Amino acid sequence: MTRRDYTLKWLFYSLTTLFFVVLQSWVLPHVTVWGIHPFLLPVIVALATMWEGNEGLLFSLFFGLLTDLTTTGPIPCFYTLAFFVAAAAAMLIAKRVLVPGFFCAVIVSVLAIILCDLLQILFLSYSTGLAISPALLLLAKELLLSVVCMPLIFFPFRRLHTRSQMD
Amino acid sequence: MKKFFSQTGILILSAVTLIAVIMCIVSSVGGGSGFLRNAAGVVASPFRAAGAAVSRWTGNLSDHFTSVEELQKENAELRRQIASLEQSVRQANADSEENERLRTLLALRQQRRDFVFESAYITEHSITNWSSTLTLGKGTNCGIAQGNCVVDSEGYLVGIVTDVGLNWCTVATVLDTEAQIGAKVFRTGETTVAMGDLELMSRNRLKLNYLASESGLYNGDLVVTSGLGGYYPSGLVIGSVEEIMTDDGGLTKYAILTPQANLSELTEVFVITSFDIVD
Repeated sequence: MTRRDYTLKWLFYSLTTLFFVVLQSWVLPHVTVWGIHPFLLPVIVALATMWEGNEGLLFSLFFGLLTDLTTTGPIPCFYTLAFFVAAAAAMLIAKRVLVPGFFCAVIVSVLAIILCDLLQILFLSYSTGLAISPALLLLAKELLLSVVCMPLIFFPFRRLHTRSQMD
Repeated sequence: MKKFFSQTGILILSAVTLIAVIMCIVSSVGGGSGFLRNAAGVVASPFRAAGAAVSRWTGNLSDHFTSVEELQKENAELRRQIASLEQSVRQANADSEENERLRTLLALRQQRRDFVFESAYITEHSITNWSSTLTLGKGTNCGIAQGNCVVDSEGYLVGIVTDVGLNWCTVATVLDTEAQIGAKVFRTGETTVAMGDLELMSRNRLKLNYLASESGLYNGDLVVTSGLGGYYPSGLVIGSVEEIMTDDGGLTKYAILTPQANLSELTEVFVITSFDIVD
């Protein structure tokens, strides 16, 4: 793959990601079920890493840094850390356990959301003494909603990956 | 290119991870808004402001398409409200004059409520389900400090400033689990604590805790800030009682409050940077 191909591939990944970030920031907060809205950012990093391996891991770090710069997490660099952990788990599964595909995407997305939410619970219970049972209930609801929306990201990312492989 | 991702890439990866972990640890150990959080906020401020400006622009654009019929209905409702309020103002003027005469007669100190406001645009609404925070585009450079109360244009309490940097600040809304505000039931004068609850946050509600079992609270009762301790100003409207519940132990009651401020529709808020209240 030439330098131009790499640049184009990651340019398209970034543009698709930007589209989902806009969707997450301005559209999804208004789409609520049980008062909860889907949270797609961990799914983006999990799927990018599932398809692209090490490069996806690097992408997850920069995406985490950008998210930290534009949103407020419980601590500075929360998303950098959370997305990196989620991406590392996704890479491990996609390389060692399952063949990248729809089923693998469901598994890595579930894992990514659980990891990010568990980190969120950890920091919140440390800072505000959060009750665990409502937190776990919220995690379950968010997980269900976000996994349902996963195909929205899966198909464009799969297309990008196959196109780049053809090139 | 492959070499870049296998060697240089791994180096960058490790360096960024290390920096991120160090920042997390330093922040957790340090607490409050330290230098790192302030610096990150200052760097992020232009990005947030740009995003908010685009959001406000699209919001204004969509407002143009609001139906005329809806606006006419709202106008009629507002006219009714104005008529009712004018009547209340006439009564209040008479009461005020009487109050002043009686105060002079008893040689009491004059009541007063002086607030210094700093207006600020919201540059970010929290995007997760785990918190209910707002980021404002003003900070210590405009006199904003941690613990300042934030109200909307009607004077309803929006939240409390929890974190502040040079040109930004974070506000935990009344729904956030970090928010704990001394509250008073306006009708009965009973003092309690209004606090955010993770379960209620998704329903856009908050909790009024530590009510006595014999508490005579009714649905619709107005809850305001108590101002006890002088930390927050008194009399800011938090919300109204929606439901009264009994704790699992059956000893104490709590109430579910509907916040008076419309938190999801806010674009601009006012930070009370200082206040002087004589009751």
